[in-house]
This record gives sequence, C-alpha cells and structure tokens, in this order.
Amino acid sequence: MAGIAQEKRKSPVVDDKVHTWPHLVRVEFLVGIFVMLVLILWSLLVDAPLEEPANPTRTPNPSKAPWYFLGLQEMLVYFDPWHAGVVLPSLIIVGLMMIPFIDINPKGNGYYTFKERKYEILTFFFGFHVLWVSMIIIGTFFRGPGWNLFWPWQHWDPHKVVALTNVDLPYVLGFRDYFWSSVCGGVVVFGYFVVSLAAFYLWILRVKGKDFLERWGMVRFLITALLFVTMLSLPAKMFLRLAFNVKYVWVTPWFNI
Amino acid sequence: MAVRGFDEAEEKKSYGSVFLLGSVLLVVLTLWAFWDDNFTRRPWKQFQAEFYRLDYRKAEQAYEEEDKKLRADPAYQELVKKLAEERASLRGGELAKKLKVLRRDETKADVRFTELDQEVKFIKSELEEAWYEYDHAVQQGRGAKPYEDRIRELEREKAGLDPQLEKARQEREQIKEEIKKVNSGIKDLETQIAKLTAERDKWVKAMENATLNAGPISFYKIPKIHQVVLEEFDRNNFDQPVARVDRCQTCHMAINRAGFENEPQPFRTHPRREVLLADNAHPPDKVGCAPCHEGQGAAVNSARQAHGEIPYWEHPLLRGAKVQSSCASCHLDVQRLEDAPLLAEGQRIFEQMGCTGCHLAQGYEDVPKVGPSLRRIRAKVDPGWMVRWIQNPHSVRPRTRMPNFSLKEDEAVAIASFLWSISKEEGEKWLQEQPLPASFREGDKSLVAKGKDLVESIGCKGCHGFAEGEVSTVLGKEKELIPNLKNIGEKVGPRWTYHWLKNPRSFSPETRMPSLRLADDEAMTVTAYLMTLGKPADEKPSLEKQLQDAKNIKRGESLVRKYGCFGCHDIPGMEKESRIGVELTTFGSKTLEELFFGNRTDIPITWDDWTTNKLKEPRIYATPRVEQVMPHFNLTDDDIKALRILLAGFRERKVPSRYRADQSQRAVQVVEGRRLMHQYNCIGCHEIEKRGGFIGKYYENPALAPPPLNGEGEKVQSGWLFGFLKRPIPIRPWLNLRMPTFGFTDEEANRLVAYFNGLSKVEIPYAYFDERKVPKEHLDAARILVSKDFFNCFSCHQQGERKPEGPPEGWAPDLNLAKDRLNPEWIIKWLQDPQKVQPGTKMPSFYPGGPDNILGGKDDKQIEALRNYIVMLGRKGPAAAASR
Repeated sequence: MAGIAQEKRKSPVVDDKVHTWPHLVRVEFLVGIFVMLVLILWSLLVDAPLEEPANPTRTPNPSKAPWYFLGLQEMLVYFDPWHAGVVLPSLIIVGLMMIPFIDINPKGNGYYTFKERKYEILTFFFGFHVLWVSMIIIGTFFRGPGWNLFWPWQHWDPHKVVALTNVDLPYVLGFRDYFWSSVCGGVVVFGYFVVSLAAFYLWILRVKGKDFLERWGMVRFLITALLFVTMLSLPAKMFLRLAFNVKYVWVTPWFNI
Repeated sequence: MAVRGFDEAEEKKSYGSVFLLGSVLLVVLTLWAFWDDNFTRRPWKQFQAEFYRLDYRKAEQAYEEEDKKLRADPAYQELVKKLAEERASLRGGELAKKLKVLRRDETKADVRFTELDQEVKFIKSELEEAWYEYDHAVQQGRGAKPYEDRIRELEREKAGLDPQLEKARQEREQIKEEIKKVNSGIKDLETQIAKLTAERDKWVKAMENATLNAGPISFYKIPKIHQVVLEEFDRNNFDQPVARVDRCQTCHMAINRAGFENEPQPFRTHPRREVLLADNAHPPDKVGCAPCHEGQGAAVNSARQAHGEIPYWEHPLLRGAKVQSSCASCHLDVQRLEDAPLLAEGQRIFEQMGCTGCHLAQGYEDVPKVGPSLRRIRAKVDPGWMVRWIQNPHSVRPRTRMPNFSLKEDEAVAIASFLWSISKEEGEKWLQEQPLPASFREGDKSLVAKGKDLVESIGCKGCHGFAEGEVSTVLGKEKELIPNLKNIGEKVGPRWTYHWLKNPRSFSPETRMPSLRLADDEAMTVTAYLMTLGKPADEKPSLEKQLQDAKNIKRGESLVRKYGCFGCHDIPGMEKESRIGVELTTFGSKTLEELFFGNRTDIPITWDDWTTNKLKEPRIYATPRVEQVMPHFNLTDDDIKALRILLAGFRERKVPSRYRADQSQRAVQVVEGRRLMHQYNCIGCHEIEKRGGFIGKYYENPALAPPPLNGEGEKVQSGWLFGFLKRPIPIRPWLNLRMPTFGFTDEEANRLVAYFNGLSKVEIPYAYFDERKVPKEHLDAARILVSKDFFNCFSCHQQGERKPEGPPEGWAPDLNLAKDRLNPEWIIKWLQDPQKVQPGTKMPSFYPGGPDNILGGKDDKQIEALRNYIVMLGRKGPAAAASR
C-alpha cells in the first residue's frame, strides 16, 4: 500500500473536480426525460405479457426459472445439481469476494481505463458476459419445450424428440469397469487441474513477467489460478458435451462431474 | 491516461434545444397516453354512445309515428276539444266563481281541522306521560292518587274535543268532495286521453331513459361499465371458489330488450329472448352472458379480447350452436331442453352408439353394453356371414351401429374362430335343448304368408325393418338402432329363430328384444316368413377348418383384446376388462398440445377440427409409428356436429349447486329412466316426450297405432303402471298390436314408473279414492249422462265383457279398468278437455256445454259425477262397494 501512496504523490497535480451543477444535474435531468419518454412509449405499445392462469396440474413446458437464474439453470444441463447449483455458485461468490485481495493493480481508481487493466477486465468480461450473461440469453431465448435447443426462428414444438446418446468420458475412452472408470475420471480431472495450473503459470510469466509474479505471491497466484481454471472448466465441459456427447467426466458413487 | 480536468466549453454549452425536444415529446406522449386510455382501450364507450343515439332515435321515431296516428284519430281530437272547452268553462263564469269560494272554504276548514287535530295529539301525549308517572309511582310504592286524577282530567278534556275534531273533518271532506265534483269533467277527460296516449307516452319514457337531464340541458347518458358478478361461480386451478365477472352487457346493451332484433351487433336482441332470458331461466342482469357463452367476460378493451379469442385464454366465445354445450354445465336433464336440440341428439348418439363401451365419461358409467351377447353366438349365426360381418359390417348392413374395424379377411377369420371357440360349450348345449319342431316346413307358402301378416300387424316394425330402406327408429340421422331383417336368412337359421322368437331371454338373458307372447304356431309362421328373407351364402369349405385352428383362435383373442370388442359385447372370460379408449370426462377442456394431430398438415389446429375429423375418419391421425384402433362409425356430418357439441360440454367445470338447474332426485330419475326407455326403444311404438311413435307411419288411422304416452305419469296410477310393465294386459283388445313383455326386473320397472312420474311432475304417486264419499245423486246423474240420450260413452268404450256398439276403429279402452288404472284427478282433467290433454285424440269434448237439467246444469258437478261413476264401474256394483 505504501507503494501506491508514493506513486500518487509523484503524479502531477491537476484540478480533477467539476461542479455538480450544471454538469451533472442538467444531464441527469435530460436523461430522466428521455428515459421517461421511452418508458411511456413502451407501455403504450407493448402490453404486459400474460399467459394462461397458473395451474398446478399442468406444468408449463418449458419450466423456466426467473431470467436472472437462467444461467444457473443452463449450467444444470452440464453438471450434477450439487455441482452446478452449489459448488460453482459458491465459487462465484467466493471468487468475487476475493477480487480485492488478488487484484494488486491500482490503476483505474476513479477513472476509466482499459489499457492499464487489460487482463483484469478481459477475465471479468469473459466470466460475466461470455459465460454468465450469454448463458442467460441461451436459457431465455434458445431453450424451448423439453429444454431442447431451438433457434429463434424455429417453432417451439413440444413434441420434439432429440436422441439421448450421452455417455461418460471413461466409457468413450474404453473403460467398462466401474472402479477403473472412477479412477480414470479422477485422473482426468486432476490432470486437467495440474496441466492448466502449469499453463496458467507459464502464461502469467510470459505476459506479466517474473517481477509481477514475485509481487503477486504464491497464495494469490494459487487462488487466482484455481478460480480461473475452474471457470474455464465450464466451457470445457460444455464443449465435451456438445461436441462429443460426454455426459460426465468423473463418475463416483458420491458425486459426478 | 484519461483526460481529466475542468472544461469551460462544456459548462457554457446550452442544452436548450434538447430540453425543448424532450418536453414537446413528453407533452405529446402524455396526450397520447390520455387518448389511449380513454378511447383506444375503451371502445365500449363509443358503442354505448352509439347505442344511446340509436335507442333515442328509435324512441323518437316511434313517438312521432304514434303521435301522427293520434292526431289523425277523431276520437282523440274530440276529447282534446272537449277538454279545452271544459277548462275554458272553469276559467270564467259561474263555475269559476263557485270554485273560488270553495277553495277559500277549503283552506279555512283545513286550518280548523289541523288546529283541533294538534290539540288532541298533545292531550294524547300528555296522557302517555301521566300514565308513565302513574305506573312509576305505583312501582315505587308512592301514592298514585294525584296522577290518577290527572289522567281522569285529561281524558275528560279529550272526550270533549273528539266530537269537534270529527265535525271539522267532515266539513273538510264535504268541501273537498264538492270541489272534486266541479272538477270531475276535466278529470274524466284526462283519464280518457291518457288511455289513448299511453302507447305514445311510453316512448317519452324510453327517450328519457337514453338521456341524462340536468336542468334545461339534456345529453346522452354517460357511458359506464355494466357488470354482473357471480360470487363463487368458478373454481380456479387451485380449486378455490372465485367470482365470475361479466361485463358483456357494457356493449351488448339491447340483449334483453325487444325491438332490436334486426340491428347489427353488438346491439341485437337475444334470439328467443322471452324464453331463454326470462326471469325463471337466465335473466341477464343476474347471470350475465359468459356462464353460457364463455369468452373473457371481464375484458372490455376490444371485442376480440372480450370474446376471449386471443392466445392463452382457455375459454373463447362459443359461437353458433356450440353454445349448447354449456347447457350441460348446469342442466342435468338436457334432453328436455327445447333450445339444445343438438346437445340432446349428441347425448342420444353417445349413449346408444356404444361410445361408452370404450370411453369412460362421468355420468355415463352405467350405460349398458349396446351389442348382443356373444356367449352362445355359435348357436345363432352362420359362420361365413360372421366373417363377412366382422370384416366390414357396413358392407352387410350399411346403417348398422356396429362400427367397421377395417380388418383384413384373415383377421376377421381369427376373431370369428375365437368367438366360435368360446361359445362352443354353451352354444351347443342350448341347441341340444331347443330342437326345431318337427312340424316346421321351410318355404311353406301358407306359413310364410301368415307369418308376414303377423309380422306386419303385431308390432315388429316398431323396431325392425324388413326391406331395403324400411326403418322406423333412427339413431342420429340414419343409423338403425335395431337390425334391419331384410337379409336375416343369410345370418341365422330356422331353429334359432323359432326359439328366439318364442323367448328371447332363454337364449340371451340380457337382451332387450322382448317377447311378443307368440304361440307355437305363431312363432312357426314368423320363422317361416323370416327364412324367406335371404339365404345363407355358400360356405367356403376351408372355413370350418380355419375356425378350428388353434393359431387362429389365439390370434383372434389378442385381436379382440386389442380392439376392445368386449366394450359392446358380452364375451365370456372378458367380463372384467376395462375400457380401452381414453377417458372423455374432461375432453372438452383438452388443450391443443394434448391433441395428437399425427403428421396431418391439412387439418387446422383447433379443437373443433380435430374432433370433427376424428369422428369422421377415426384413424386419421395414425402415423407409421402410432397405430390407432378406433373403428369407423360412418356417421353423418350432422351426427358428428351433435357429438362434437356434447363432447365440448365435457369440461373441467363444477358449477356450484346454487347456480344449477333442477338436480333433484326427480331429475336424476328422469335421466336414468329415459336411458332405460331408449334402451328398450319404447319410442319405436309410443310417442314419449313428444318424440317417437315411429311405427305410426305404417298406420293411416292413428287410432290403430300404439297410444302416445305423453303425460302418462299423470294419467295412470303408479302401482298399475308397475304391474302393467311387468305383465302387460290388453287395454285395447281391438288392436292387433301387442304390447310386448320385456321381462323388466323390478328395479327397471320402478325406474320407468319414476321416469313417467318425473316427466309429469307427479309429486305424490299414490292417491286414495274413497268411494264411500260418493253421493248417490252423482251416480244417478252420471248414469243418465253416459246413456245413449246424452254422451253415449259405451258406443266407443268397452265395459268389461261388453263390447262397444260402434265400429271397431272407433273403439276405446275398457272403462272397467279405470278404477285401477287411471288417476282420479286426471279423469277430471280429461273430461274437461281431452284435446288439451292429448291433442288429436278421438275422444269428443262434451264440456263446456253439459245438459242444463242435470245437477243444476253445472259442468264441474257433472264432470265430477262422471268421474265418480267411472271409478266405481270397475267394482262389482255400488251396493257391493258400499258394503265393503
């Protein structure tokens, strides 16, 4: 922290404050007017989307969570409920709480910058927009009856049938015995973490340099790497599922991944 | 690095134009929002304004027309002239002076009376107080003497004033009377004019109803929502009672007003308004419209929304005849309703076509199987015929109720062989016990001719046809409820026929074919005749072997199970099988997702189209993978429409009992009894509920056809009817027709009696007639009345052994039976006006207009005397009756 203070003191002193009035208030007022215009126009042109009355004997198909949960619901397609519903969301929250600890880049305080925070912003962008928001969009617009995938121009046919041919990864690799399948799955999962941790290390080394790694420290590196690699495991699993019909990578009597 | 710091140009920049643009847009949008809220989304306001204008214009027109008529009416002109004269005469001259004096006197008398009246009232009030003081003093044990004195004093005062008051009242009344007399001429004329102008002034009221008058200005009424709320009418999907809100009459304002029959919608009057919207039926101000017509009753934003013809609304407006499907929501007995003919027809078809054999539906669980028992089928039919029949019944008998399962020949053979095998034991046993009489000679001309005569005279034709197109009882548009026998010789042999005719129930205990109590020789002649109708086709020699083939038998059994033959037929070993079709109790509420359209692209995706096409071509939605087994019934489009309306009424809807029509035990009995009546086809011969009596078309003289049974419950005694149903006796011995013995169980006979009683709304089925109370003069008078000199009753009516004197086609039932048979109250009604009780009867009407010299010439007395006489006739004699 001492370093940051020093850096600040060194920078040239500029007058970086402007008055609330008129700079902020009048713009806010104008924005307020136009937001109201849009809302009024919207309410005039589009009626509230009502469907048939709720009926406990007739489950709607598809049954969808509120839109902000559709990312989670989409993850359930690829993982066990305990994993997609408990482990991953917990890691998301924990990871967000960790950001002040693992982010040692002081740039961008009080102003907008991309260049000075390229990797931080890109990582967040990938996690939030590409994974979370895009899954909400998929869940909202691309999932129809039977939670099947539909293109927006396709009719949501409630009777659509999609062949169920998913198998576990060890099965694909030729394992038929339950025990050895478990072992194989474990090896693959651990292997994934080991290999990607190493790759992450090499990558950081290349783009940030040794100095940064030393300043960052072992603990911060490991936490970040674990979170980053876990985040990447989601698209990895999605790819395995969509491209190779892989159901689970690791099947054990207690959990499946 | 971002540019930070103070920018002077930014501070000086004006946003005035943007602000102006935003403000203008805001104003415009606000006005638009106001317009949208008040006009675009409230089209009913325009409708109402339009309606009030229309209503006012109509009233005005009618007023002017009436006014013109009045003006042209000389009587009216005369009266108006007279009135003017009368008024003028009161305005001046002697009379006016007199009236003035009288009016002054009246005022004086009025004042005098009011003064006195007030004085008396005060005294009365003081008396009340004095009595209170007196009571109070007594209750507290104080001396009551002073109060007693006060009371006495006040009463004295009152006694003094009372006559004065009475006198003042009389004076006043007298003056008033005199004034009235002077004015009476005007009053009289005014009443006469009012009578003439009533028709015209009615329209003034109508005009006032369409307008709002505020002082000197008047304008059309301000539009408002007209809403009917039916508390707890519906149940929501969580089974909680919810109100139904119905605002239909916000636009349909003339729905219950005469005079708008030819206006365009939404202002048209409801058809059959007098009946359907009557206060005892469906008054729209109390029940609204949506309970019958559905739609989104609470919506008023647009016609489309209000009619519920939008996505997600589950009960769109029932257009056209489909509204009849709603009747069943509240009416248990829908076949009685005149305005739901298609629904009633649909119900008859549904019950009698055998739909319930495969499909369960609430309220139709106990409909008996419609087909004959196959327990002894081997003893009955020709095997070759059987195979042809199973393969496609419509090719054998196009109008049969048996549906076509579109089987291949080998499948038909397999089913036949299965049925052949299961009926082997019982069938052969029955055949052994029932030999053909040795005297039977097939083809004997005289037997055949006699048989034909018998068939045509004893009533076989009430149910069966005997030639192409000959049919009496039709189900739906053209289905034969009972087999046409024109080719019966192809199907059955003489041995079975003979014994079947003699006693159908010995062959099949559950059959609805009745016994006509044929003697042996009669049965023989009928058999001989029937055997001339068609000859068995030459059997393929291999068939017998195929029928014995165990593989065929096994295959036949699985086919019988697959197609659910046991739904309509009694098949040994399959008595407990459940229905193979889908349950239809809530079929009308099925959503489009629940209806399987298969790969059809030519059928519009609606409930109506799905159902129509399913009934027309039952396997239309089959795909290469999805097999459908529902057979083809060959229904006409009209039948399909009727069935569709019935099915549309099979809804998940429970209307609370307080909104429902008659659900009493009596209504249940009528529904059940009618079903039984249809099962035994009583309407083949008798007209019941103004329907049936189909055999009548073979008779030119209706007197020779079976009697109509409209109002039978009121006419006959329940006990007698029960006995008659169990064991019919000839009531009209001159008829060749025979009331068959159906072999009803006690329960069935009771149900039929309850049905007839329910139809006639008989509350108390048993009535006692006390002959000891019959005065002798009645009997004497009646004896004269029935004699040849007067009504000559026995020229037509039989009396015990005594045959009527007139020609046989004029004969009428035995009056000796009346005692046990007829309801004494009914006899009176009958004698009063036979044509009213039974239109078209040949019984002459004697009243009003009985002879003057008997029982004082009073019709009522004479009728009662006749009734008493008729009821006494059945006894051994008046003396014997009296001694009992």
